[in-house]
Amino acid sequence: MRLDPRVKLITVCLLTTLAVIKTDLVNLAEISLICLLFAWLVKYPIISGLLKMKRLLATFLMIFLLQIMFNRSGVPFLSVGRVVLVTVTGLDLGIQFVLRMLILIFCAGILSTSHSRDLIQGLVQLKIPYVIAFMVTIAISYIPLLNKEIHDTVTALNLRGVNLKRIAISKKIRTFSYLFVPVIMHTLEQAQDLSISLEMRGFRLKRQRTSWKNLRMNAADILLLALSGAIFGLMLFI
Amino acid sequence: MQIKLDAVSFAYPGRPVFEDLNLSIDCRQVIGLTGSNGCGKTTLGKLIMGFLPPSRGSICLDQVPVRSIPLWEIGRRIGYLFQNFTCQLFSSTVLAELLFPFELMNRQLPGMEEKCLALLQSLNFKPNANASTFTLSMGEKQRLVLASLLISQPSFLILDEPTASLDSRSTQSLLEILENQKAAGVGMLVISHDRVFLDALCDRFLTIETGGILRAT
Amino acid sequence: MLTAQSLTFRFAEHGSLLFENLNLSISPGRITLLQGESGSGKSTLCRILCAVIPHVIQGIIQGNVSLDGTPLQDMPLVLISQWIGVAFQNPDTQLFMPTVEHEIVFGLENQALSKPEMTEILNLTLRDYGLEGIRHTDPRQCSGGEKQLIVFASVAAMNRPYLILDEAFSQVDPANCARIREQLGFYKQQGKGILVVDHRHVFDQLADEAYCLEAGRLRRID
Repeated sequence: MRLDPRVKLITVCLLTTLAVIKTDLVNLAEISLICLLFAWLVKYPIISGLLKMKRLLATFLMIFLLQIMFNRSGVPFLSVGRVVLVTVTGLDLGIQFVLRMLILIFCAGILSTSHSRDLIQGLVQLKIPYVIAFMVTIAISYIPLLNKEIHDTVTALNLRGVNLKRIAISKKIRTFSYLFVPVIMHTLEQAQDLSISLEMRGFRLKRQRTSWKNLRMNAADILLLALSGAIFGLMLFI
Repeated sequence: MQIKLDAVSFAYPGRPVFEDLNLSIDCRQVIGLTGSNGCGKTTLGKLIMGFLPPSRGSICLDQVPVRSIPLWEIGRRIGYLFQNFTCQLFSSTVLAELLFPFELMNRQLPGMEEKCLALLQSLNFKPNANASTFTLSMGEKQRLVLASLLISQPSFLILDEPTASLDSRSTQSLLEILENQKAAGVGMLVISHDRVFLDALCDRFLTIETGGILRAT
Repeated sequence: MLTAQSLTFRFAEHGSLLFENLNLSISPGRITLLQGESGSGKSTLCRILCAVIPHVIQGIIQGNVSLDGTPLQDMPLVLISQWIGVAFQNPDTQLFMPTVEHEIVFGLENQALSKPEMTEILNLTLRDYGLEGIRHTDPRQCSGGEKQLIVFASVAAMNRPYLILDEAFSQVDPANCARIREQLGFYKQQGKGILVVDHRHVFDQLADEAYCLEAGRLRRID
């Protein structure tokens, strides 16, 4: 289903707001399901999206375990003799964290189904100043480039015979400096070059810039927007 | 050493590049690879190195699938010069640039420093060993990166658009360096639009045409 | 006319001199070719001529750099962009949009052109540079040569009276270089002043005058 980017932006905003406000596990689970349904509706590849985030999911699991370990107040859930290993409060907080992260992942995935230019246009037509909308999307679209830069640098380092897994711990910090110093320096250079190129393309030349494509909502967009608003209103008061 | 591509297919999202590509490279040869922008020259180089997985088919180095060989091992056998070779510089000084992998992996050998200096001299590298890598010209940077690849004595080089950032004098200097390597028995795959450069250096020519078809020219 | 008169430049107070008493003019309706070894200062000269130095990058300039008599350092960079279109060597820092057509239109939107005007310029540019087949492609997924072509097409679409092209075609294949040569000839006839920095001798026949930058001085080449 091809949705107006504004519908995606507003819905994502409402869902993430609910995710922050709500602390009840049932509510959070409901919000996650709504996100999942919305992601399916906009044809976000859910399974491959989650698989790409394997490492992130491992981090979530670690934080989940840390939440359980360090929150010992409340009713015991799991004990060994007199030692309380897990409490209901700890488990609750851990699950809350995981559900919120899943909501964020699905929301990011929903937004990724629109071009950055369409998202900029959506924000502008929602009265966000173009400069802010553009800067936010440029920053986000730079993340994969930074990823690629790091990947190329690691590849180049590997090709020099450096097996990162076999380096002694005492030399690991130095290794990271070989990796990150060139990346950081190159990123700073690129940031300067990007800003020069932007100015030379007339960015902020005129107070009001025109848009080649304007967004128009259709009946399905309006219906879904109304539905999102209704769900938000309902869940806010449950 | 032999590189073999067998019925290789590859596509970027929404953009097919190769379909059932077959290619055999004897690593003693010096091969020029050319083709129009976007035809897949750099992609072919990356597939051979195992940076990219083919969607179908196999790519083998001496009959071993290249994707099963660790990169640090491939790097000892094949030297790869990136199109953007500045990402292959890591250290602040020239000598440190050549020595640091050996220090990190505890593979320092006696006389390593002298070997590095001799290699730099053979590549006509003028700045001294303590010169900062940040102040080198593009031609000097490229020669330093080449030195860093050659220090492992690979038997094959893949050079992606090696003359794109170079002036005429540096291009001539690079040609002399590669001719010396060729005479020493190092094979090469040179990816370039510079037909004059390729004609002066290469024994065999391949062109990638529209649709990812590889043709000997 | 875009002019550098008695230009002397160094990056820092006690740094070495890069140029000394350099004079160069980019005249309307003429193509000027600039060559020289790596590190001779060609890119620095280009950045001075479009006022990136001193507006963004620091440096000590003596002499005059002016556009039709107005010193460039008195004009904000964004206003200078109304007069001078610039394409640099690295296309990755000159691409902002998710598709080729959006990239070309980006500069036109900044100029606040109307939608019909933008559509017409876009279609002409795509046709002139052979980019119709990849109009919906993400420029970042394209090859180096294609990216450079997209950057140049985007700059050219803005129709500036002056163009500074700093090794902007280093990765472009011979067929597309021929296309660019044709377009540059057309822009020259339109009265644009063009400075091309190129090592590959691809634009030698097109240039009205050629210079070599060596040891901080310009030497005219015949």
